[in-house]
Amino acid sequence: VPLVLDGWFYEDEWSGELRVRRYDIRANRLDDALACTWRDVTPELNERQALEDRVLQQATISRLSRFVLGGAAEQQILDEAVRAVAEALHVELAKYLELSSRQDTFVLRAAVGWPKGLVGTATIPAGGHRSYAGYVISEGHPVSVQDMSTETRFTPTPLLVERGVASGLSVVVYGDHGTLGVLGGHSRTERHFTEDEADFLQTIANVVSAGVLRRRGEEEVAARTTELANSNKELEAFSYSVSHDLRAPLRAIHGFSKILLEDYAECLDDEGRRVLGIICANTEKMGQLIDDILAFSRLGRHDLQSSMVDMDGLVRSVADELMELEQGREVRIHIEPLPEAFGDLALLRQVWANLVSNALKFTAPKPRADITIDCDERAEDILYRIRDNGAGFDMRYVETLFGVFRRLHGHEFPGTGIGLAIVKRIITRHGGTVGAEGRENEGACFTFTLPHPPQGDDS
Amino acid sequence: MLDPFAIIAPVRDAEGHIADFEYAYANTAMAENVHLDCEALIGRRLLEVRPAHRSSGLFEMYCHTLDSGGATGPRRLVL
Repeated sequence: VPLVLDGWFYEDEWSGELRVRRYDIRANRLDDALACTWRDVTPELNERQALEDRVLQQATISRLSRFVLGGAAEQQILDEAVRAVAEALHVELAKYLELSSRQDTFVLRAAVGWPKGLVGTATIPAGGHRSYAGYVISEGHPVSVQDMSTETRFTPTPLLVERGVASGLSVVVYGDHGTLGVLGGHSRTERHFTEDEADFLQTIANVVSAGVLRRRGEEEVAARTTELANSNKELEAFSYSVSHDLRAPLRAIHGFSKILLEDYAECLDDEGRRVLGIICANTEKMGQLIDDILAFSRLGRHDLQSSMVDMDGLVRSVADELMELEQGREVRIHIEPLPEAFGDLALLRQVWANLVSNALKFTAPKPRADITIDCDERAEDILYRIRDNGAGFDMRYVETLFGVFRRLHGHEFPGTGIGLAIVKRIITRHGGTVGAEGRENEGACFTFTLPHPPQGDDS
Repeated sequence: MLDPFAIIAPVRDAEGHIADFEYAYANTAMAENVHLDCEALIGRRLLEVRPAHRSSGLFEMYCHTLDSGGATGPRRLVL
């Protein structure tokens, strides 16, 4: 008996009912008659379709996730999301409605199947839950609509009616606090949405939410960084001009006080001369303070002039110069050989000058100053160390050491309190870090790191 | 439930052309498809019960199968 008809599909649409059944019809010749078998293959086909859909949904989710992780902008994420929804749900229309910050309006942010001109401009009111999107938010879970024309839970807005939308599936896109918007897929022909499809859409919405929040977070950080950089610049410009303007009157006060002291000393009594001496000393101190502020503010304003620096020679020359000023004290400075560094010679000189003079200053009360300078060539950077046996400090205050005008010690040691702030700023600009350890009356150890010199640069 | 099954016998005109088929046998599933009892379906004409067989081309395929044989690939039709 020959098999003569193979793989016929029969769709059976009973009036009004959208029940499509598919049959595999086979007719075999049986003498002068036909034996017809109609095998119902609807469940198999449905199962296969469901499986294919599931695979497509998974692929869509992972593609969108990769897109988000790849650093796509917020609008790109939304465009890709609605495209993905339309494709994976097999619908002609998909859209993302963003809830305004005042929560009173939805804006059409991204769409497939709507005219381009409407995207970014079309709005619908969000008050209450009269609209589909509003109803989805009030429900808080996926809402599927099979027949928009008989819907009673809400009134479809013109945005849906004008596109002839018959069915839809929508979910909430949640933010950190509350709702970002509503994501939906819509069909012009009536159709049913499955639980699987609702789960899929919610997953897409969650990916969108994560992506949008991530982008917004990054933007906020970038904006704050710019703001901070700007205010830093302003502050530097301000301190520079103020310091600059302070110098002229100060020079006048200092100059005229000096004249008084030198030319009119005999007109004053001892107390008068003592007071005048205090004025002179203080104007000198203030002059130093202003110079330091100027130096500090200049640090942020000029580019580094980096080259290979003979650190060993630099430290020895700085130490020699400073030792010249320390006559009459017993000072022992021990300097271990130091490797070459890469940086701005003038600024690195400033670093060593500040650190060595600090060490000399704080060892002054000791009968013998012991200062050791060495370094540690580590895998990731070079660590420089300067240790002394001076006044030291309480580790509780280590955080404040490198701040501007922070002085741990009172007036028993001279200084403006800006030296370590300058060190920190210079080292930070070189890409290094600073550190300090100390014990009261037992000494201090200051460290800083510099990156290794760039490879292959023998200059 | 069993798949719909039927044996249909040709009803030929004076020239021997197949004018219609008659249900010689039909199981319950086949009868339910057209909302009839088995007894009611047996003896009825195919094109009377399911007129769409002609418009869809299935009737022609049946005739072809019976008179000349030969296989036909998968097709989709709506009845």
